[in-house]
Amino acid sequence: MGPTSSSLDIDLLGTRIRTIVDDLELAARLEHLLIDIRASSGTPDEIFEITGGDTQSDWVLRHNGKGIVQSASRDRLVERFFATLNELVLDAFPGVAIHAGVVARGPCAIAIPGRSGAGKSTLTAACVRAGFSYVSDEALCIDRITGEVVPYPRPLMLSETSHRLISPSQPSGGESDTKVALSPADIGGHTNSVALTLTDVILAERNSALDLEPIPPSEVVAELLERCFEGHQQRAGTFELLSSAVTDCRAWRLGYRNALDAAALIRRALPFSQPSR
Amino acid sequence: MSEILDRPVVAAPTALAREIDGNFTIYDKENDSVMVLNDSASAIWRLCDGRTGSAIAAELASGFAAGPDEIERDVASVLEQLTESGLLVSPVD
Repeated sequence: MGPTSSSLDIDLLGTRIRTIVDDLELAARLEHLLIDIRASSGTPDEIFEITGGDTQSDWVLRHNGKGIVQSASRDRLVERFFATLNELVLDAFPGVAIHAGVVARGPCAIAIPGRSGAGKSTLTAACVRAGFSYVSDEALCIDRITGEVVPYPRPLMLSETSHRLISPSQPSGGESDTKVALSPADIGGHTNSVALTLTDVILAERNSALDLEPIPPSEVVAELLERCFEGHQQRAGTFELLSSAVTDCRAWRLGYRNALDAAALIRRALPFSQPSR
Repeated sequence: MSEILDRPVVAAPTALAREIDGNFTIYDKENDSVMVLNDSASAIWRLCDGRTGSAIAAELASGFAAGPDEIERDVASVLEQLTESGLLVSPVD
C-alpha cells in the first residue's frame, strides 16, 4: 500500500513552510508549482494541511492546525491556499514589500508597480513569455540593509481570461472567477532565484495607446511608497530606501492595451545594461 | 509678496528631502505625502538654509536669464506653496 499523504517543504522570503496533502494528484501539482522554491526538510515555521476531496467530504485547508476554509472546489481551495501563504510570508518579511510585478534580465530587476487587479500578473506573465525571467507577480521585495531585490517567486496567479491570453492553446473551462496557479515553466519561462539590482521601474497604464517613454526616476518614488504593503510602512525609512533604490534606476511610463504587445515592446525598447551599483 | 521674501526659511523638521537625478523629492512625515519638485523649485529648495526669499532670489538671479522681478515673483510663489504645504518654516531663533 502506498503513502496516503505527501509533505512538501518550501522557503519563501525566509519563511519555511511545510504543506501536507492527502491527495497525491494535488500533491504532484503543488510540487510542480513550487519546485523552484523547494527547501530541504527541517523545522518549518508554518504548517498547512490540505485534506478531503473524496466523494464524502469537502476539501479542507488548515493552517497550524486551525481550519481556514472548506470548499467543494479544489481550485478554490488552492487559490485560498496561495492567498493565505502570500499574506503570511509578506507579513513576516523584514524588508520593504511593494505591490508590483517583477521580472529580470541577467542581474537586473524590472519592477511594474500597481494596485491589486491592475493587471500586474498578466503583464508579468507576458514578460516571462517574452524571455524575461520570473521574479514575482505580487511583490517587489527589497532588503533594507543591502537594497537588493529579494526574489518572491510564488506561482503566477492568472484569471482564466489572462491565462487564455498568455497561453492561447489553453482550452477554455474552469471556474471563471477562480484564479489559475501556474509555474513560469507552464508558460515557457523560468524563475530567477538570486538577489538582483533594481534597474528599471515601469509605471503601466492599461487602456492606453502602446507606448514606452522615459520619465524622471523621481516620479516613481510616490507610486512605490503608495503601493507598500500594510505592515511595511515605516514610512520615513521606506522613503529613504526607495529614494536610494531609484537613484540609479531608469523610469518609464508604459501605455498598453494588450499585455503581449506591451511585453514585446519592453523587451525591444529597454536597453540592457549592467547595474551601476 | 514682500512678506514671504523678507522671511528666512528652512526645511521643516518633518520634511525629508532626497535629491534624485538633480531634482528634490520630499516626503512629508506629518501628512505622509510625497512632493516632487521641478528644476526651478529644486534650485530654490537647495538655498533654503535660513536665507530670506530675497537673498535666494538674488543668488538665483546670477544664474538665470530672467530679470530680477520675474525671479522674485517665481521665488515668492514657490516659497508660498512650500510653506503652505508645511515643508518650509521659519528657523527657530
